[in-house]
Amino acid sequence: MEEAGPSYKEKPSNGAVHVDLDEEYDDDDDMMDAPSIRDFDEVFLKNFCRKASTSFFKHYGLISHQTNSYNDFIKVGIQNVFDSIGEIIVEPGYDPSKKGDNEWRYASIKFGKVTLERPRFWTGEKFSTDNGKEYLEFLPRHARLQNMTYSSRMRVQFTKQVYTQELVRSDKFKTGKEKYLDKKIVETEEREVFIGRIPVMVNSDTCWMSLAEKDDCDYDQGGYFIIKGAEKTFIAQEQLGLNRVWVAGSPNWRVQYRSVHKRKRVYVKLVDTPKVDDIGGGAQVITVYILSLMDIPIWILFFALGVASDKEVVDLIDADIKDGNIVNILIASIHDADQTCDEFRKGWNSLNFVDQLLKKSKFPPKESVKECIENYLFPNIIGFGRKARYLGYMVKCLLEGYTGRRKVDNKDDFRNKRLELAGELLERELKVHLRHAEMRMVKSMQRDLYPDRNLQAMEHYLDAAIITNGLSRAFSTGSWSHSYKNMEKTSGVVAMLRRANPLQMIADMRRTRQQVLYAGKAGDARYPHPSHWGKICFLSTPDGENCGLIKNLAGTALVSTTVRERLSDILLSCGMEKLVDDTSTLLSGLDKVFVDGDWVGICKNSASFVAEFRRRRRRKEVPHQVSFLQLLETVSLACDMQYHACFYPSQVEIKRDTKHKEVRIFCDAGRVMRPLLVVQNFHKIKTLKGGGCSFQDLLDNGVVELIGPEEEEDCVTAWDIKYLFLENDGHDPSKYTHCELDMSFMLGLSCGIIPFANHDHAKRVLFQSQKHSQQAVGYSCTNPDIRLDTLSHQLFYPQRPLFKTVLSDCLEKPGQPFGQSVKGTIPRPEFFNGQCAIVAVNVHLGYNQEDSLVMNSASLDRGMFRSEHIRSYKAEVDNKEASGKKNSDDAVNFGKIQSKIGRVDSLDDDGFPFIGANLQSGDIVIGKHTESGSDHSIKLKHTERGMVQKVVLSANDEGKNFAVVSLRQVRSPCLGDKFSSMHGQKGVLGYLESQENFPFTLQGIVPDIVINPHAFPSRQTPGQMLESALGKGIALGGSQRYATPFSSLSIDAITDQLHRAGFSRWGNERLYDGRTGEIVKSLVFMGPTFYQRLVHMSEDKVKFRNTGPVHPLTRQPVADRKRFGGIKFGEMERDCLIAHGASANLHERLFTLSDCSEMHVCQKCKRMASVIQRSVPGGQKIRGPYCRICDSMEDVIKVNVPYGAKLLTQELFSMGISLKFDTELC
Amino acid sequence: MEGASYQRFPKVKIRELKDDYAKFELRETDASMANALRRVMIAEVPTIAIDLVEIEVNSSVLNDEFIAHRLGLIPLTSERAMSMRFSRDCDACDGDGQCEFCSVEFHLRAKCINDQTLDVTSKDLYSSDHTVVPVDFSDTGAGFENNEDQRAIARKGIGKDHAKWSPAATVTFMYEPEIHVNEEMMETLSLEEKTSVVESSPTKVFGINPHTQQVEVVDREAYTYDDEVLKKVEAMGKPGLVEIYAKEDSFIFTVESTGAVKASQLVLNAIEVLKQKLDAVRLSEDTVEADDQFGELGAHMRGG
Repeated sequence: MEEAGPSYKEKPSNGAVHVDLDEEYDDDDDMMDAPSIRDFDEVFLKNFCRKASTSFFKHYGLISHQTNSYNDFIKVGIQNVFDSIGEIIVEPGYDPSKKGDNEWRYASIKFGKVTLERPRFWTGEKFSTDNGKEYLEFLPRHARLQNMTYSSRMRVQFTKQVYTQELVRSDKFKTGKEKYLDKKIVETEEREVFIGRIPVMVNSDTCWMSLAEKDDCDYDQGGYFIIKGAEKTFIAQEQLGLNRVWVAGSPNWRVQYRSVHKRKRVYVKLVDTPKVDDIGGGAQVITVYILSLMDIPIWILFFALGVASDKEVVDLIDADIKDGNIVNILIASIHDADQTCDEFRKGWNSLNFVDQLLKKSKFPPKESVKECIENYLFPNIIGFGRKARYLGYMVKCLLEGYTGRRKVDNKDDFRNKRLELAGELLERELKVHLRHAEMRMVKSMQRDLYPDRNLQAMEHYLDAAIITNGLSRAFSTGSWSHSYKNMEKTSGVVAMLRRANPLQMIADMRRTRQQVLYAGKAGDARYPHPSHWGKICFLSTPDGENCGLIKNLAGTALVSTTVRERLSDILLSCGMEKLVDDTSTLLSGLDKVFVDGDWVGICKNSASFVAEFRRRRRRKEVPHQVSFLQLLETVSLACDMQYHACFYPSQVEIKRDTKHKEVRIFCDAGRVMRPLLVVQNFHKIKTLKGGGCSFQDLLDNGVVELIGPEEEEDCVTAWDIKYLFLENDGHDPSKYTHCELDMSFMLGLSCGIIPFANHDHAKRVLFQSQKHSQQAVGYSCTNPDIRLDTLSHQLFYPQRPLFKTVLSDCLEKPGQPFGQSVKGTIPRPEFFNGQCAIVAVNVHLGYNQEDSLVMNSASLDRGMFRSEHIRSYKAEVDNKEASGKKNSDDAVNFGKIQSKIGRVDSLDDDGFPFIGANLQSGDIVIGKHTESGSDHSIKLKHTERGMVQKVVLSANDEGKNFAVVSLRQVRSPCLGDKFSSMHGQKGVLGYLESQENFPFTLQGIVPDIVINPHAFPSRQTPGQMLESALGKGIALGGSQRYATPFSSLSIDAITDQLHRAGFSRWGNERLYDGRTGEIVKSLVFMGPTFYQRLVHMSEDKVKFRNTGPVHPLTRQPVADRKRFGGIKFGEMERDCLIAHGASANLHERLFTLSDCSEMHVCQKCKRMASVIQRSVPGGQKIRGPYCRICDSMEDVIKVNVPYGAKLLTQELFSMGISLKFDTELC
Repeated sequence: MEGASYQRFPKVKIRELKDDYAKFELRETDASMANALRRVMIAEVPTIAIDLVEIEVNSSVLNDEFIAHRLGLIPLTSERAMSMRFSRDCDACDGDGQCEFCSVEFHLRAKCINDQTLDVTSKDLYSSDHTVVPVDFSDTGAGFENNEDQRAIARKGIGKDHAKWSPAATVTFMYEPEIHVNEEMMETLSLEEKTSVVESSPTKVFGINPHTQQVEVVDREAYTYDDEVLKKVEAMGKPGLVEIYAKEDSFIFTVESTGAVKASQLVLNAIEVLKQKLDAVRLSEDTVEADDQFGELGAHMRGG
């Protein structure tokens, strides 16, 4: 390295990881050298971590990535979409018949500023004339109750010019052109127009709820959309990062510069040339792909970019020319260029060559070559010289990759990935619909540009419904526009927000998905990658086809939004030099500085540069906040909107690549970042102590910083505070630069709350986090009265578990004060859904075999696991006022009539049942009929019943009135209901035992649940036992309360706690048999364990029938449970009966009880004889079987056949195939 | 063994007696007897509990079933329960369970008039019979809002049918332990080893005499049969150092009542119910018929 640069110590990298952070100097504090870690108490630091994490969650919540991305879209994204349209020029139709006398008229439309107001209702004339407000606030709950889309109106400023063109000849000397088009502006219009409605994310800056003091529901943190009354959320899409150089080794060596636009893609690759005799033969040459042109010799492009000589090209490439391989390739490449284009070195020959290629291509561009290169080849890099340098850099990467000096980029590495969220996804979709609207506008405007017609107002052409409906349809159907394929749609971008419990709701919004073309191409994408650490949960992923493709964000993961302030000044002041725009300056040996993949500068001493940059970032000198002024420039929302102070922490990420002498800086959106403690700044904790411990303070003081995936490679991170103190051979604590807040934060939300998750088999943790936690009946929301979910469950007495984990502890928020008698508040443990049951591990008369469990019926009588289930029924009628139709006879209306299809006793005259009515299966829930008396009522299916909870009458914005009747059912656990502990141990209720029959302890405690000991050995879930033992200790007043994964207590701590409380160390208890009173020989493990009631209940699954509806075509019983169908007696079951020789039974099952039927066969012609009506001599008509072929009714006999067989005969007959039947008596 | 009488005369010694708590010894009988008493206390001593709730108005946040369930679980003073009729075999009302012989009527009226949450507790429950009132609890209900008006009928029942009729909070017994410390062998141990033996028991069963430094049994009944000491002794390689047996015929009962009946009454009622049950067996025709089969036993049952 050169001597230049700041002259302070440069530590030699001694083989180990080079830690450039060490060189950071402390200038703003009186302490000259960073204080040693040993000045701190480990416990103090641990507590600090806890506090810091609590403030982290307080600051960001769990769905900040969704809201931040959406807010960014509202502030900047929408404007970008409209800006990207540019000027639209509408040309007239050129239809000669319409020409008339006037000139052809043209129109140009330019979009300007977009404004978005908060969601509002138009109250209608009725209200506004009545001295009321014209607009009312449109809140999320209105949208939910009225099945509307929670959206706000988007207005855009536009400038429309109508002009005529004239070709004017002019003086070439004056204007420089011989002739030019002269625009004669006929008409200009400039105003705002309503262009569509944008769905609003709940709790985003545009949403009313962001101002509201109290949320509708205590558990609701927003982050979702309401589309036609349904809650939808985005799943973060994992995409490969663009704007970076990709080195790939197969199928051939290539270095790519990717872009969404096909035109902007560039790649340099090594290709084999056919054997040529004179030059060694079979050499590899470098070619380049630009502007959709294949295989341009690299040398030609260099010269087209203005490089003067071969030497300069080699200098630009700056590869190791001592390496023979490289030299050979370069020479072969020069040779290749010489052969392709003669004299390319002279003048503009090379540029002309590219020009000719472009013109020959399938879709030649409109622009000139120079413009093409300017706009499409590395569009972010300005100046041909810089572009040439970048190209040289790509070639260097290629050569290094080929010679094994540079690693091939891994597409599964998280540093190469970006998460697309609401902002990016909405931008994409909006662009599609805006283009559509624009196309339609151009088409309809063209017609009115004929000289004899008049242009109308802009609203006439610009159909706002296209955007409104387009977005709403995309949300509803879930088919989103593809990220780079124009006409294609992808699925899996939007998901219904499931609300079985608050955990599921939040987990749904923290999901990521990687799209793969088909399963075979996924490669290693499904496997966990080390770079997922701390960003993506290693454990929670669904099993089955989406395994490893759908993932969950880790506990403290954040997603960056674009940092829009320019970094260049800061970079320059940190010691970067701007990249020169020529091709001659020699830059070898200097470190390259890339910002978002673009080469912007060089620096002499990257170590000091990076250190200085980091230091400034920690002191908040790097942009972290979208400036307010800039905000006003882009999109200003309606003036009544207030901005919250929007502090974005420093999301700029810097990575120093010493090997390749590069410094990479990223400030784009979609990087997953996480907070880490900066070991060096620990001393600042003490100064903080006084007051501010908000997370912003911590960030501002550099105690905590957000680290992205790439920068993380430079950090030496201690997994826990304890590693900073751990000193033994081979472990040097001083090497750490960063420290995790907690060990369990590498897990996702649903994993991090599992006690002792690290003691369980990963598969079991996965079961809990992915399946059971999402099916657990809990307390789904605190606003059930203003919601209309089709199905919701609520546990009567939800409890919080006895244990805590760090994650659950940090997430807890102060809740409602509990009554008036108890002071203070109890925290809301909203992510746990279940109850603490006393669980014994025992064989209870064998009633808990095969994962079933025995429950204490007395506990159930007392309300354990009792739950209510609310199902809503919806009916619609046309709104007469809105549709304006006259009251015709066949208009359907709500009302009660005597129905033939079900009982209407509980209905009031308006057609709705009264509150508290007990509806049984088959009753009418909503009465609906026409004036003429035809019945359209909604009837309960045979499986459905319940008490009426609420009746809601509402109307949506599509001219429909609708009514929703909710039925409530209270269910106490019954045989066959499913339960699960937090360790993937699910089981169904196998027996309800009365209290006195259970074995009891000395204290008189009987278990609530008895599970089978066989559940443990093969499942490997000792975590459950630890939870139980710990829970027992806590219940007895112990103080050890944490069961955080990875930092959980030692077994000794748990056993000691139990021993102190007067119990057996290992959680065993001596039991007395409840039946005989004798002592049970063996000790039984018993303790409180957190159990969840899962939504699968036997009442919803029982299927039985003796006789019932049959399928109209086949006359076989139907299969559907809802329609009172039967259970299939299938092939295997048939085999079974055959094997038993139970032929009579088989005959009964498959024939008598199924589709037994009769058929007539003519014994003469052996064909089927049908029953017809025919006249017989004597004028009579008789009805009976008759053979049409033999023209007789003699010898026609009746046989018993399955209806299916008869149907087959008839169907074949209709195809011209006649079956013959031999009959014999039996 | 022909002709031998198995009749025994169990002895009860009361140790502690409070309204809702009783501790007594039961000696000279078998586990079957002790356990029968326990089972009857839990499941078959009748009490009175709310069984039918008619809700006129309920505009609270809790639904009807929820409130009805909670009302059912309120313990009511049930001294009368033994003399009351089960509504199912009440002659006076043909079993519809609404007459004074088999039911007690309650009324609950609560209305919240301010914007605070109103606590509705068992104190708001008005009984038509002063002998059957809710057990005095400080807090039984949950906070409701708005309006409530309901009529509840309490009936007699037993814990077997529903846990709300169970008068017992906990009923448990233990076998009286017999602990032998082998003093000779104990003398061979050092003080440290002795301490470790003493401390191996999670409950304070053993202690070291500060004067003689001998291991002594401090509290026999603190022993929970957890085998910890035995395992410890085994692990030390000194099996037989401590030996513990359970006395087969003496039990220490702990009875806690919900307050529906007094703990002492609960025991007496249980014995009464047990007697009735035995009478039912003795007097039933089946028993007489089965005399041939069981011979002696049947006669014994009939007191012969």
